[in-house]
Amino acid sequence: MEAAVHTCRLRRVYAYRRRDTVVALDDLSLTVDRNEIHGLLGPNGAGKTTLIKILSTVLLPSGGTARVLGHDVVAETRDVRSLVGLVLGGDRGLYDRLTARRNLLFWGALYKLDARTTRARAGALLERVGLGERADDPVEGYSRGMRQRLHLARGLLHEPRVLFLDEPTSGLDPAAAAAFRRLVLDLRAEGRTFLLATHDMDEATALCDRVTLIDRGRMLLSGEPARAGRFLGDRECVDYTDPDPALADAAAALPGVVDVERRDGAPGAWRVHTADRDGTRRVLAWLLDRDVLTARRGEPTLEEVYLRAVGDRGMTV
Amino acid sequence: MRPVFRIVRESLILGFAEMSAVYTWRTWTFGWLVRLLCQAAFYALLGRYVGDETTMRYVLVGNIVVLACLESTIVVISLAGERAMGTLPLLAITPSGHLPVYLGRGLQWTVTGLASSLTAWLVLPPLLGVPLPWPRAAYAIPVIVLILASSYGYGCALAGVALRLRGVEWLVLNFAYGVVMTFGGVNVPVDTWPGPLRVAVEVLPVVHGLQAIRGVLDGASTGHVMGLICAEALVGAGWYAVAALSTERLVSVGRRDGGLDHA
Ligand SMILES: Nc1ncnc2c1ncn2[C@@H]1O[C@H](COP(=O)(O)OP(=O)(O)OP(=O)(O)O)[C@@H](O)[C@H]1O
Ligand SMILES: [Mg+2]
Repeated sequence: MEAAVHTCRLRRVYAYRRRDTVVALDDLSLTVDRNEIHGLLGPNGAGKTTLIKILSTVLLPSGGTARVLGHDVVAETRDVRSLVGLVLGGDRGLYDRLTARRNLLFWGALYKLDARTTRARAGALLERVGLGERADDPVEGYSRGMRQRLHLARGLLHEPRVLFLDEPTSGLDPAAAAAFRRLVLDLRAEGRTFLLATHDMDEATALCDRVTLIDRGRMLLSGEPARAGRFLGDRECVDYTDPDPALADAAAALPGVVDVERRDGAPGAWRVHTADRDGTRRVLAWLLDRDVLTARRGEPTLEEVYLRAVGDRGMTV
Repeated sequence: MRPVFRIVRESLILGFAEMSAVYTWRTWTFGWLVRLLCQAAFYALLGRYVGDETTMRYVLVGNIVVLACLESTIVVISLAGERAMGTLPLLAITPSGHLPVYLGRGLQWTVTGLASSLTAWLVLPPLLGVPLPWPRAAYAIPVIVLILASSYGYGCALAGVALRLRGVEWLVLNFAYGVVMTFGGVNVPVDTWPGPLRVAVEVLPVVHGLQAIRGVLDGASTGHVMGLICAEALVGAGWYAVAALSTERLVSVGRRDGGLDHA
């Protein structure tokens, strides 16, 4: 069975200011299985939006191939279009003068849905994204999050089998973001596939079956979010909580311990980096002997992995 | 309902919603419509000043009919708005494609264009003392509708240019309308132009339709009038073909250079 998305050495080069070029995607090979929720991570300018645009046939690749459910995005554009939904989000892309419902009816006509189906789906989707009560207000009066919800409803209107979402929860309040995740999970249960670009590591961890981290158009790693650290050959570590800094100093002197650091957030939380599994075992036993029952083997969070992989480049793009 | 009709319907709803942001029916009637009537009257009176009753009627008829073109070419602005709104990439990937929307996005201007040119047709001639030969003058109405249609195609074709070049929509609109107004036989008969120009204006909308209307008013033979009507229809069809090609190119170039969603 064909994968939902498969790219092979996909390349995209943009020309700008006449002479200069930017390589937005650099031989990117990626597979998204059917019925998967796949997260696309990476710093600003990494090429996430570019990839989503190529897969949804808005943009042509400069090289390599991309297939959606077995259909080539260049040679079989029509087939691809009937299968995919695109949510670019942002402030643009909506008809401000129309109400949310009218926006959906407009797109329903373009997607050749019959009038009754469009009306029924528009109503149901607006309820589902929480715009039911404001459905008949003009979009120009909408807040950013409300626009974002409408973008989502629009992308779902024709019930596409594969959905490409570009930062779908940016601007959503926490409750709406949680509702959005439930919605995505519901839709996945219906057999749909998601590729979503996001900067929200918690969201990626909570929602995605797999994530792919790209930077400068290249893949850095791809795998389950909880195990992402392994792909980096990340060091072992032990986390524990204890108010006494002297204990940390003592732990640092143990054989097999590389480093001990204070963790942000909780007071008295420490992380002991160990050289290998033996070191981890030794530290855990040593801590238990000292009655520190909070000790456990730590997994680096996706955010930590991300920061390590991409490097701390701050505000530079 | 057929998909195309639904798209037309939804486009009209959208078009009028956008229009209502600029006009209420009162400001449209007493602002825009009165402005158009004054424009036609002004040229007509100028015709009387430099010529006679016949010149005046010639100029008045021309200026009333050209209102249809003035309004329907505003589609250039509506379509340029589509780029500003960032909907082009989304439109391009619908199964209907961008063409129906491209051709539907300014339809409201054909409706208002019909309203204003018909009002002018009924009101201005008696007001200015050059009554039209009714009921014959009624035959002009379907020709005006045809001119609306061909001018709309002309506007759509030029909108393709405006969308590609960006930020030139007002220039394109004024150019489009200005060329027809100046060279289309509105105030000065086309056959007074030097040879090459006379040939060039053959491809403009309004030119043949306006001659057909003048023919109707002067009691020309049906064959002569029908010939001109066919020519107008042909010119219109040509512009629609250009419009279709230019949208096709807009999207294919946009997919290549990534500029489809640039404002
Ligand atoms: N139309 C375009 N013309 C020229 N360069 C472009 C164009 N679109 C994107 N780029 C460049 O391609 C690179 C990748 O951009 P892209 O929008 O795909 O990044 P992204 O991963 O989505 O970033 P962000 O997280 O900020 O949304 C950037 O360097 C960007 O400047
Ligand atoms: Mg992006």
